[in-house]
Amino acid sequence: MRKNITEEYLETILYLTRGGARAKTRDIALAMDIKPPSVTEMLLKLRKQGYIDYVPYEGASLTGEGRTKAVEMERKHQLLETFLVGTLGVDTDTAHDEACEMEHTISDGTVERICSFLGHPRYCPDDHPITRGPCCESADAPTPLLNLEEGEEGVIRVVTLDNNTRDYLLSLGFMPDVQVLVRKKLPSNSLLVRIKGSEIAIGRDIAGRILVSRVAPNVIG
Amino acid sequence: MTRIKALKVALIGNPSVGKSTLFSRLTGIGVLISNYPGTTMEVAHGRVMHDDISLNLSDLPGIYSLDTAIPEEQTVIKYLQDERPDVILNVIDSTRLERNLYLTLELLELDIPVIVALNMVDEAAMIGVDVDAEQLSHLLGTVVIPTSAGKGTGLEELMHAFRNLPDHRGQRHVRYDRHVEGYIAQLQSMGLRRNEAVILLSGGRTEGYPEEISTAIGMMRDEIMSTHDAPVLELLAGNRYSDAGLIARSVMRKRTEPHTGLRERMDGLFVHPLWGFAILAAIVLSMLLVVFFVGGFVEDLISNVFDAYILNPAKAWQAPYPILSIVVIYTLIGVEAGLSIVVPYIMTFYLLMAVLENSGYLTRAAFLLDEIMHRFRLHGRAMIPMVLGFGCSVPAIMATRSLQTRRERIITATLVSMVPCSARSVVILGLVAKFISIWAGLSIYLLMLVLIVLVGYILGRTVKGEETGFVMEMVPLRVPELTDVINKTWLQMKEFVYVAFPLLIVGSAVLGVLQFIGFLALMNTLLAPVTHGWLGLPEFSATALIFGVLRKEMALETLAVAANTASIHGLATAMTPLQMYVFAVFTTIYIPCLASIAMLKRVLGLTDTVKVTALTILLALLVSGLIAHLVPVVAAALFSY
Repeated sequence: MRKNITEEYLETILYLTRGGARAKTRDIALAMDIKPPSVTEMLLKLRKQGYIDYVPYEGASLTGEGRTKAVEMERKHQLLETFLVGTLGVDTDTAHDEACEMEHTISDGTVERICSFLGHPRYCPDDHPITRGPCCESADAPTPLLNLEEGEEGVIRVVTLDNNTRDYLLSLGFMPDVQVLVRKKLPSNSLLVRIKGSEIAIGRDIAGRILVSRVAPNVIG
Repeated sequence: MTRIKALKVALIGNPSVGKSTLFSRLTGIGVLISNYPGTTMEVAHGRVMHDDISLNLSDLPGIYSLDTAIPEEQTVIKYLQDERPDVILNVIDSTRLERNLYLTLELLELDIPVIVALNMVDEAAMIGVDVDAEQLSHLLGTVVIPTSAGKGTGLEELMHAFRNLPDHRGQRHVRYDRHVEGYIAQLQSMGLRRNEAVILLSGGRTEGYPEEISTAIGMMRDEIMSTHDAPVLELLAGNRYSDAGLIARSVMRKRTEPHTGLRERMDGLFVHPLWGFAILAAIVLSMLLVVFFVGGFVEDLISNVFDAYILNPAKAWQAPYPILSIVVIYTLIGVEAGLSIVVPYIMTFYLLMAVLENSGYLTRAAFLLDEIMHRFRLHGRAMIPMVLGFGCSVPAIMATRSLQTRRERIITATLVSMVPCSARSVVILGLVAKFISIWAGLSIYLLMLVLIVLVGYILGRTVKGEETGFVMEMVPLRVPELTDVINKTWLQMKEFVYVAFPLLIVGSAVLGVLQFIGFLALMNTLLAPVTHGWLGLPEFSATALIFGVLRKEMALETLAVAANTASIHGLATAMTPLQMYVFAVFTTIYIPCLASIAMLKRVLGLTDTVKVTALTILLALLVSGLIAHLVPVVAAALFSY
């Protein structure tokens, strides 16, 4: 049996059991475009491997082990999709299909590097939250933009300012998951940053209230 | 197709994308600039006739989005609501495509046809970027015309685009988050237009909508906020920006290495922590020097000609009634005074300022000075009006209107009133520097600097209101266009011409009459306790100070006349150096001139104008009085040792 298929099944079941109910054979068959008898056969195999709890006619739910594997797959998928759409400009449908293929062959290490390169994004292009991986946990805790040095790059996490200033900053592109590069830092801590293709000067009071994660410099070199 | 009615066109775009250049390219001269009703922002209107097409163009303030509370955006929103333009001409900067497209995407949602002028294509090419206009047009679902307003290319094609307006129904609408799209569909089924639904969801006011809609909106907003853990606007802005990013990436073709070496290096120097300040100081100093040398020369020229051919013949004329000849002569003096300050000093100053502004340097200076302004709890942006104040306080006070909060406007306008304008510089240089020493003259500038810092520090801590931080886009460095510089100069000058000039002429005539009926002599006596008693000035200086309210440098001329000396040179015998110094300090601080007061009232309202005026009078009395009393004591103490 190919690793691919197992992973696809686990991912589908994860998706279908989001609401808490068990995944029905018919729904799995529908979602994966496979005939129900084949699904049943596969579910029995997965149960034997310890990935799922499966009761015929009631449906399937993930075991702890199965869930870990499924979440890992989902995370790979979402990160690949984010990379394809956000960085390479691939259209969303193509990105989805190709991410589905790539997620099964890509190594954990490469995924971690993509995650760091993207600055540990919180949401994928479909706006579903991305599960945090080990690399996200070990990444720098958010730090004020103010603490970045000249030439350093960060990804915005939170903007903690009054509504008017925040809205104004939003219109200039200062929002979560956006990359900023510190171009110039004066001794007074006023910053000149590059964001969304233009250069913006910000005072230290504002720079102190935009929290960013440093983008790991070794992956963008 | 022939159009009888002129199309109403709104020019909208980010700040400094060449919008105004394009506007003046299209309209030529004959531009009318007016305050848009209910706002402090200015909108320029112009007409274009081209073959069988006639356009009514309005150049709206530069904005980044349609969602924030800043005055520029509110003006544009109000204009769009009230005027309902037939078409929007959206000017975008090819070198900053992604950011510019954000606003474009918002405009495309408005159900108004949008024509996009893809401006500065030549500049983009210079930094190694080609933009595929055809592809962009395809993606945006509307007409995109590549232009270079600076060089004047693409204008013909642009005019042609107005002939066949695009259909707004084909325009690209951002596909928002699924959640939001669901709500939009729901709101549309309740009878709202798509763009209304978007505006309301992102936080627009629901007043005037049926109860069911406003409750639905409230619930939807809460729902979105709780599931996404972020304000709705942030979610929508994120969607728009990722759309803008996608479009930008798919239409931009990077070519070779950009040739920006020199520009980058200059830019680096301009904001360098050390060189940056050195360059800034050099620029400001040389600017002031140029203004005084060029200005002084031209002023002499103008007043000599005016005296010889207009004023002297008028004085020789025997009017049937003495009062009539007084009115005529003083009116003419007012005209002369206006001409001899406006053309030489103010115009020169603002020409230089416009060069600095259009080259992008001014934003760099603001960035450098942000920290200093911080000490007044202001920020770098407030620096620009203060530098303008060296020319003339009137347009400088006007410039404070672009500051975001009322608090910043009050503080900055007060400080601007204290910056020695060119008229006050004439008094400082013409009296103190000439008769005492150049160092004594410069010490007054230093004194004013200290006072401004002090007052700024105190006001920064006492004036209540919202404090905003410093956020400003750095305009790319550019070689300024001549037409832009001239337009901008006129924009600043016109405030002086329309506001200050009439006041000068009328005020001058009124003062002539007051003098004629003996009112001024009476004032000399009445004010003697202050002028003579506290400040130690000769009694006749009261007349000069009253004239100074009209126009600061007139205080000097009047002083010479009131002292009964044949010329200014006679002042050396009529006044002691200390008296001259005190007089100059008092004149520099004591009250904004009449025209500045009028402008203050327009920007701040009556109450705050009165406060600012009172503050300057008190400050002038205090500072110059202290100088008058302390200098002799200190001098005596020094001599006794």
